[in-house]
Amino acid sequence: MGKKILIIDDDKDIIESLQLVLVSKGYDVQSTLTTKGAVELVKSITPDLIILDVMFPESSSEGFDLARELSRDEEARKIPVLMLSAVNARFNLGFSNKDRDENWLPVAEFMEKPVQPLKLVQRIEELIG
Amino acid sequence: MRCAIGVVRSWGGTAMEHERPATSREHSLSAATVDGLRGDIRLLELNRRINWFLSLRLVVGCGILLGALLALTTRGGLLVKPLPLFLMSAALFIMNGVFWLHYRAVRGVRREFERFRSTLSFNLHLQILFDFTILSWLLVETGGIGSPVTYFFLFHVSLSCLFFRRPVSFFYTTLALVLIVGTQFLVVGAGDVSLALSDTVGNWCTGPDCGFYYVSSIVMVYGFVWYLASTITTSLRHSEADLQANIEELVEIHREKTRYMLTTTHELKAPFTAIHSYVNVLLGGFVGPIDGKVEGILTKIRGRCERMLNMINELLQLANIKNLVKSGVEMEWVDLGACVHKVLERLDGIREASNITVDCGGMGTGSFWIRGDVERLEILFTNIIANALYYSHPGSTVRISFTEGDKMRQVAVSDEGIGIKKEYLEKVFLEHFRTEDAARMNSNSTGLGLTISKFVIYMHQGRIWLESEPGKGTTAFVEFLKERRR
Repeated sequence: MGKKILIIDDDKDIIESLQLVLVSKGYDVQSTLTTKGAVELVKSITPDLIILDVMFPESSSEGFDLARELSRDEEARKIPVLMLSAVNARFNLGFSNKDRDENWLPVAEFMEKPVQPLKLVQRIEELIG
Repeated sequence: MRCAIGVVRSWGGTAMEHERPATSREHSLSAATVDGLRGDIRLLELNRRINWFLSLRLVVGCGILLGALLALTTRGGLLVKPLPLFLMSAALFIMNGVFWLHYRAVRGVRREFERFRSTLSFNLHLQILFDFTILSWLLVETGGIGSPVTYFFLFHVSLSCLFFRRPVSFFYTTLALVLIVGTQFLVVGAGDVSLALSDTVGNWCTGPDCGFYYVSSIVMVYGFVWYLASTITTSLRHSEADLQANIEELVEIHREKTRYMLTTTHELKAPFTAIHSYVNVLLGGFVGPIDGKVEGILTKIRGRCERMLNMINELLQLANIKNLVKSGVEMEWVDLGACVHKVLERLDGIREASNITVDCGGMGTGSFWIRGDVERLEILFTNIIANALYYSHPGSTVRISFTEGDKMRQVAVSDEGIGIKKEYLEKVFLEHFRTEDAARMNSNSTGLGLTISKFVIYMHQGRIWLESEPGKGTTAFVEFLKERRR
């Protein structure tokens, strides 16, 4: 069994394309389309890595909020988060200054969509092997 | 690429000496416009009036000093004692200095109109009362109500109308009249003011009622000036408040529009990102092998997707930068040499593809600093250097020069490319405008690069302009304010 990756993204096409790439590389991929109950899901499946989107239908900074919530949880904070979003971290889509502060954002990596599959795989390998 | 670390070398941007290339207008935004966009129009006006008040008092102080000097030499025929005039001008200079220091000290609250006004209000009252004391003294020294100093109080009646509401300015007008009549008692002693006036007011009336006529005419002049000034300034204040409310409404509408546009653009980006991801999965062979024909078509789809994504990214960039021009951004010291080198590294693929030589005139890192926002400056230089590379003829040279002036620091990027016709030099700064030649040479261009660059320059209160000659090349100049680095 390969290492477990949880994808949290509201775009099922993005999830599917990522799944195709990651499964072919031997990862065990699970996904959810919403951040609701995501902390509990993370604790129950204990993935090795979380791939997280920023913008969700109900809030343009929901991904940031979830990343912070995960970083406050004793168990979940050990899991690296790779933030993958169609929007650059610094674009002012109602984000607060703190949202745009990379030092404060508790994620291991921030990549902008679209990302080259091989670059993504390479970065994941660097993070979790 | 020749960009080794070395000494700063200036390089003139205009290479063609025999025929001067066409130049575009300089695109810049003055500090006042930036403040106007970001600030409160009432605040701007208040600051302007205070500066006016300070300057006016300086002139008055100098006038009294000149009078004192004339009185000292007795050549001017002045009968006034010089010492009181010297003391008055000195006191006026000191009080003006105190007011100026206070005005400077409250810089922190200058961005909030009401707080700023109430903070300065007490001092302003103090200054006007002090000026009234000085004027009363001057009135006594110059012989009382018949002296032209009687009408000097009118300046402060107008000033009080500018700074305060009507009841307050009315109070100062009344106080001025009380002081004018009161000082006459000091001049003539406890005697009959009306009788004393008979000697001073000329030959247009005689008898005990003469003083009454004279004082009535002064009251009438003061009342009329107060009425006119207070009516105009009250109307002006209402207009300022209305204007400010309209500006705030427009800013809010603009903010909403930008937010809507950003969200819509992001929504547009999402499906293209998904298409791009799927195509990448197919091209990467993650779902099995594909034949050459399919691969060719998929590569074209990916290319078009990338162009669309590029345009969406630039639209997002432009909207963000336009917002930052209005809201402001925290500036830091930026090493422009390092910034340009970083951009050149990023654009090395484009440079290599056309075999272009980049000459930075030996500029290294650590010697050319400006106050700015590093991220947006990288966007600016990416745009203008990429333009130079894209529109250069293969095998030619792109020169980047760094020049230090007395007040400005300038970077010029010059190419030996296709150039821009004179009639298009202004249009290339407009959103989505591309010349036919440019579109042919670089089909991936969105026509937003120079518009974005223009707004980055606005953010930095600098200037940007182009010089170009078709068939010979273009030079893009960017200039930034020179500030002393501590």
